[in-house]
Amino acid sequence: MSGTDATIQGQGAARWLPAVFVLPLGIVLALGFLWPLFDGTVNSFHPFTRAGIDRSTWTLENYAKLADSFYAGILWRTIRVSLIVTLLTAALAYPVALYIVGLSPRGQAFYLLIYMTPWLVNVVVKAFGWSLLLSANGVINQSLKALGIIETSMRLMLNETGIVIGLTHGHFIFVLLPLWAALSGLDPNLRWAAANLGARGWDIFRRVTLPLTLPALMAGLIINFTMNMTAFATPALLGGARARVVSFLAYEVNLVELNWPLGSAMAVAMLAISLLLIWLSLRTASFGSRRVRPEGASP
Amino acid sequence: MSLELKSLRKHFGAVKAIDDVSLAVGDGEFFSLLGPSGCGKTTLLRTIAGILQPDGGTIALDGRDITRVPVHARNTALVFQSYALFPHLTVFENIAFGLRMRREKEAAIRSRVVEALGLVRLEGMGERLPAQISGGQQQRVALARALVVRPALLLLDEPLSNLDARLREEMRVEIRRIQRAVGITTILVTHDIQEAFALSDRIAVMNQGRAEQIGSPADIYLRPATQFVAEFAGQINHFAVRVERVDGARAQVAASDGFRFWIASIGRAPAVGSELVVILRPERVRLDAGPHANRFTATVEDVTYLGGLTIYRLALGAHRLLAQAQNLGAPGPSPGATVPVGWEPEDGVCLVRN
Amino acid sequence: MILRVFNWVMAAVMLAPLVLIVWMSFTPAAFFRLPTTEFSLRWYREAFNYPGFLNSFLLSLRLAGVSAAIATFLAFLAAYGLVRFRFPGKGALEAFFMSPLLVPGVVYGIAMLQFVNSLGLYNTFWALVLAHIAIVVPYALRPIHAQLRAVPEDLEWAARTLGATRTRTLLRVTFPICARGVLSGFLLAFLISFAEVTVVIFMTGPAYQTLPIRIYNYLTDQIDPTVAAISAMLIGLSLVLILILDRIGGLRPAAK
Repeated sequence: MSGTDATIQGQGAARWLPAVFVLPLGIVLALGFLWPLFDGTVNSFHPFTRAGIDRSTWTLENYAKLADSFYAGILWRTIRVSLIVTLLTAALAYPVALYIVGLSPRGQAFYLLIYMTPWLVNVVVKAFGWSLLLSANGVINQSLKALGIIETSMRLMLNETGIVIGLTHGHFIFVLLPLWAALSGLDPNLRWAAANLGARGWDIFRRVTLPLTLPALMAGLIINFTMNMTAFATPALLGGARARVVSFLAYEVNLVELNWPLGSAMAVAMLAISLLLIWLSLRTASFGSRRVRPEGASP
Repeated sequence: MSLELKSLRKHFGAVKAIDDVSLAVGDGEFFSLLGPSGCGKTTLLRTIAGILQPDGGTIALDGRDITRVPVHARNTALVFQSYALFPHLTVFENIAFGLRMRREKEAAIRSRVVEALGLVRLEGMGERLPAQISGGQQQRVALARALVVRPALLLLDEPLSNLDARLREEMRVEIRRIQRAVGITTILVTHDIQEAFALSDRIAVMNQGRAEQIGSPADIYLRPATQFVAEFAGQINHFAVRVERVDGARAQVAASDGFRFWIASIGRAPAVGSELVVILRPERVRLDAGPHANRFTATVEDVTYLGGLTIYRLALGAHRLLAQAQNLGAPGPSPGATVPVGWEPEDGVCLVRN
Repeated sequence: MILRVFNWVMAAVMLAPLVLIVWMSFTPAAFFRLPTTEFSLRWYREAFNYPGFLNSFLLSLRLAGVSAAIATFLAFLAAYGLVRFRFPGKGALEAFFMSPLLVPGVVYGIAMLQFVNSLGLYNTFWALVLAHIAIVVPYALRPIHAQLRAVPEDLEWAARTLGATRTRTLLRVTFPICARGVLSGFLLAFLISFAEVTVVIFMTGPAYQTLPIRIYNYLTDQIDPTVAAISAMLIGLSLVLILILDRIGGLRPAAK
């Protein structure tokens, strides 16, 4: 084997040649992705007048407006609902992940596929399915009435409850998958070692399993939270105008009020928050991978 | 066709992969680029094929400069170390590939591929996929694929390194047979000295991007130009010495510890006081008390039995000496024994020390 | 064990809304009532008789097909450029190609609404295609990139030394060997494009209602089992595509 020789592969190509391959996509994305985002950002710094966007003046008033109590209230609801969904998902996904990891590879694949189905099914179809269950004369209310537990229908959708249920269902996999990966990557010896030292079930979980999977859990939760914050169709269909979230409000501002500068300001704010959160989740995950592998741990 | 490289240079950053290499390969010659890993031999081969562009120098085929001719127009077929068979094409289509690129007629393609399959003795294997045949067969397909286009040059990049020892010997014979049958100018890259000796008309021994010596296998072995070539071509004893006196066709040399022996001063006579390295191949060290010009007594330290041969490690004063003897019946000396050793002045190869 | 039962319940909850839809689509009643044992294809007939849905379905197919095809083509070229060449700024470029994954649909939808309007492309098919290309490109790029990296460069050089130009090498050797990855990329892109809701809702008018948008608008009005039939068909369609993807190994590099 001529090892060092083999590392220097052919490169007789002209300098401009790579551009032929990467530029088409680069141009399409620059035109259809970067430019619109840039354009929208510029719009958010112009005032909105009756005649439309006043491109001659620059202002921060659109951002200032986001702090108004009306908008701030909706932002607060969005954060609250998203956080509830995220915490609920954490509480539900952890036991599921713990159980699945103990199964045979086939069993693991089977259940992972089941938990993945909501992600693979269209978001409006999911919302429709939930409305069959949650609406005033949906399956749940019908059944409870038939059993005599309640007399009048409970309000399970077109409010925050509907959003929470829909989002928990829709974004479950984004917590489950990293958690499952972290748990199955755990060195089983660690748990035996803990048991050997006299730790009991709950102690092992609290002192060994949980701390070691915490980074993965956190990373998954942050992603989950980000997706909840920016979800549109699920809160629109299961929450509606009674439980407006930021994205629904942004829809109204942009397409009903046609106040694009304000709408853009909302978009910029959402983008900034998501990028910040994604960065945070990446940092958490990489911090975790450093901690989960102490020196000399098995690969 | 004949190939001529003139002061070819190629570097990767600060590394000189090809450092001013000039050589000429005659029509129909089997030429090898021999050297250790990283010596630049594969780079040189890929530069000849046009995969890499040289930073300087020229490549000429039959006197025509092809330095700037792109890969696909060079008509040099390369057999890769990994064979690089197209996994999605059958053996037949793999071999036919080059002909299809040349837009040959379907009937011509068919007959030439069948002929090529016959040449490498793979009749009837045409419909298999590369994954369905053995390593040795893949090697033959790669060879057939390269030969079928009747290239100006056949370039072989470590073609046998992925085969096991027995198959390697078999393919060695096979490659030589095919190369002679086709009469094609061939350049082989290898780190295996046996392979290079067995196949080549001439060899270039490469080291750090330079061709240290170009010559026939016998030249390389018997008359190495540098210590590197001598060591690469097989086990050696070497002595750093100074010439003490010159006596006609002979000269007496001494190592720093006073160990003295005679060398032949063929060609230019070494001047007294010049510093030399004397290379002595183990098979030239004789374990007998014959009337050798250089006669000593040594102690056997270690014996390695290799069947037809035995290697003795001897202590000769402060020097270690390897000797190799054919096993002709009588058992040789055992470790600890004291034996006479000797060699002729002509047995040593002298190199100027630098 | 508690965990086992809990897992069962959770799995059931995951599937419940989808099962209900399919179930409902096969019952004759206009309202979904339990228990029901009747079977009918009435709503499927209705669905096909309702031109709005059929048009939307065809539009979605066309949109997903065109954008996935263009995105796959561009992604293949880009992946080839990224895998086979070394040039400054390569890492940044790769990150740029994947960056649409980082931007929430709402944000991109708002941006596209304003952008498309300012160019006078509002409510046009090609504006939708442009948006969908940006959305699905990362999904197409990932499997193709992974597959290309697994193709030894020597295969291409072998083709070139045998007389193939770079273009012919790409078409006759590289592309066929990567076919699986390309197909995975295309199907994934198609799936994502077909399912896209948010961006389209923001940037398109009534003339171009894709199937998910049509369902969305329908749901905000009323619920009738026609939607169930259509949704059930959508579930079936994604199921088929996912099975194909799983078969050709396309879900592995794509799994998040």
